[in-house]
Amino acid sequence: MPRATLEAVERAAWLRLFEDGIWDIALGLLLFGFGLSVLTGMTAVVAGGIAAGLVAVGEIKRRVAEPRIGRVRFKARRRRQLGGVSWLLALLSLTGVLVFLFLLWTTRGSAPPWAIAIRDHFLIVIGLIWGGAAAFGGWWLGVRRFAVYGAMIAAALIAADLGGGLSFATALLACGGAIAFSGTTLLLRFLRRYPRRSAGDDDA
Amino acid sequence: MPETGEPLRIEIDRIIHEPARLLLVAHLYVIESADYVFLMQSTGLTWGNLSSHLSKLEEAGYVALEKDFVDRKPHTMVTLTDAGRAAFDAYRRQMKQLFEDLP
Repeated sequence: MPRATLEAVERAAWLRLFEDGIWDIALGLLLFGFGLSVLTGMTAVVAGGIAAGLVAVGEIKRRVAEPRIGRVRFKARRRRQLGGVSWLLALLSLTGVLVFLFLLWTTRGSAPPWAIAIRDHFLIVIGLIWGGAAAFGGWWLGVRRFAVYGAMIAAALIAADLGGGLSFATALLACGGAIAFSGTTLLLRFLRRYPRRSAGDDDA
Repeated sequence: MPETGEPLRIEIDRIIHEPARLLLVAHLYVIESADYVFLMQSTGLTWGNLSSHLSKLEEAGYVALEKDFVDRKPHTMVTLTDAGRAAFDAYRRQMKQLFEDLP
């Protein structure tokens, strides 16, 4: 069997892990939650919901996806790729804290003009960071649709900053809703394509 | 290449050469291990076929079956052994050699 075909076999097995759309739904709900918290001011409730949802993702994958596509352990290179996503999320959280501290600093009278200029366009900064992170994650994992999500997030937040008829909250709600919808479509297709299997099933 | 008209003998590993087993070994070659459900979905084999082919591969020492319990249900992970990996490498070389000189 030529090398290219073996690579295709491995890639198909890898991409099956992302076919269920559960990570898409999680990302969509995360953005939607942020949007809701900005819109309603109920930050604590929404943050709690987001945290619980992220913790639940692993359990949902185990209960929904594993009985349908089975369990697989990939080689070290792929495991490093999955580990890299945790680093990316940690880096994103740190960046969020740094952006918050930066914004706090610019409210003081001593902030230089360049810092105030950045503060005035902080949606562009956030859009580039979040959109870039989603796109980088997609490239890193080889799942291209996340690059599209990244471009969408960046475009929506830049449009909101430039006064394109969107506020910060509506940009987040629109992006989150669209990504969650895309994930739900993938999940429904996944459920149809992969029926639940158990030992002795012989109707394949 | 012999210059007599004797029939040529081609040394092909018949355990791996069977199409369904070739597909199974190819999958196990590129990942570390997988359970029956994953292999069924990846190869399109039925449970019975998969079980029978894995038994043959296990008898040849090409795969190892690791049994444990997940949610109190029996669960089996399948891994390609070093012997299986070497046999697949040898099979790839043999097939490449066989077709290399075709006009």
